[in-house]
Amino acid sequence: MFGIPLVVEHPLLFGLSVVGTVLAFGGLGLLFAVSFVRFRAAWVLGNFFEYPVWLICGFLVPLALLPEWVRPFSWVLAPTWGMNAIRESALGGSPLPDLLVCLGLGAAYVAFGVLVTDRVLRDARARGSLSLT
Amino acid sequence: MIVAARIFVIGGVTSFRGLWYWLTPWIYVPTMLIAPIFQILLFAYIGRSAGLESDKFYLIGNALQYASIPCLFAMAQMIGGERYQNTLSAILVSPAPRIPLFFGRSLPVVLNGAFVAAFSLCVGALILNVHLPASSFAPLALVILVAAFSCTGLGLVNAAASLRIRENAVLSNVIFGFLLIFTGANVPLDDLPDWMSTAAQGMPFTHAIEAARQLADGASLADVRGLIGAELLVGAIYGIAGYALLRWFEILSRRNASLERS
Repeated sequence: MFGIPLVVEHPLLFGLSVVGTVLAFGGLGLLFAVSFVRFRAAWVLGNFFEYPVWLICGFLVPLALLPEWVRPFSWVLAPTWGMNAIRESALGGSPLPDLLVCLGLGAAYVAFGVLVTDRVLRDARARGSLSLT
Repeated sequence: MIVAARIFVIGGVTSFRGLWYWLTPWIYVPTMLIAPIFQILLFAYIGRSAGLESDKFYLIGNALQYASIPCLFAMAQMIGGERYQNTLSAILVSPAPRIPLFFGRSLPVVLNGAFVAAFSLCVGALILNVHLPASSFAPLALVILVAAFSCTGLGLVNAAASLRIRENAVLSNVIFGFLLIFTGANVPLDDLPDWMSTAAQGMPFTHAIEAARQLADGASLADVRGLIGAELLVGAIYGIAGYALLRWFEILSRRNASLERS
């Protein structure tokens, strides 16, 4: 449509990187989903984090352009590593280390999300506050 | 006359206050005050990264364009929300004159949209260290108000659509995307294909953003009066079209008994 040639050096790794990044996003979503138990307006989180995630995960802007203090936030976000893996696989580099970090962080989100969900649900049952938030 | 004024002012304010049963500060602050700052930062950094336009270009474009969120969503919610809660039929069954009824609901939306854009412009300028001449503050405030008026006109069209479709939020998001691309907020109109820059002339924000950029570069209010007039005209046309559509859909809803179903 825009006349831009898209050449992918490692198609298989590229596909894996895309799938891994999507899964990691799902893990992050699960973590956010916990907030629905406590806050009625939790859907705002999805909208609120849209631009920041695009910005600080390096989707559209190189991280080197951002202030130094932003980088630790980028590093704990799995999509940053997923995006690196996608780029590396497209450009012919080695995406596996980035992909592994991305999947590791995604798994950590899921584990933490399950733990927190369990805790928050038990708390909501104990207080009878599920329908009050 | 007094009845019309009461419907315009009190009806409009009451309807706007009705939004706050769900538009709590927990929603208002992130979506109306913080999200536009990140939109400005995102496009400013894209501009820096790609070596395109200046921070000032993206600051003004995105601050003004973000007024479309309150203008489009609030107008749609005011009609769609009343329909959803089954209060719209009680309003429409009354003999209240429709012009103050519908336009009264627009006034608080215009003011809120202008506030969101002005807040985004001020905070974005501070963060990006963009200098705006003091002499441009008052003219910029006027341009922002005109831009919010213009987009609220489009919001009225969007509100009319709420009488026919259930999920108006999706339509509002689509319109937001069009305005982001077409109005010159992030891409100079000269760089857009001809058909897009031509279509942009009939959209809210296009002329207001251009006027605001010229004011920020030192132009006087007199220099941009043509652009402000064009923006007002665009808003008025959408407002009239929105009102006509609302009346038409109201008649159709009565005829088909479809006011409370999509």
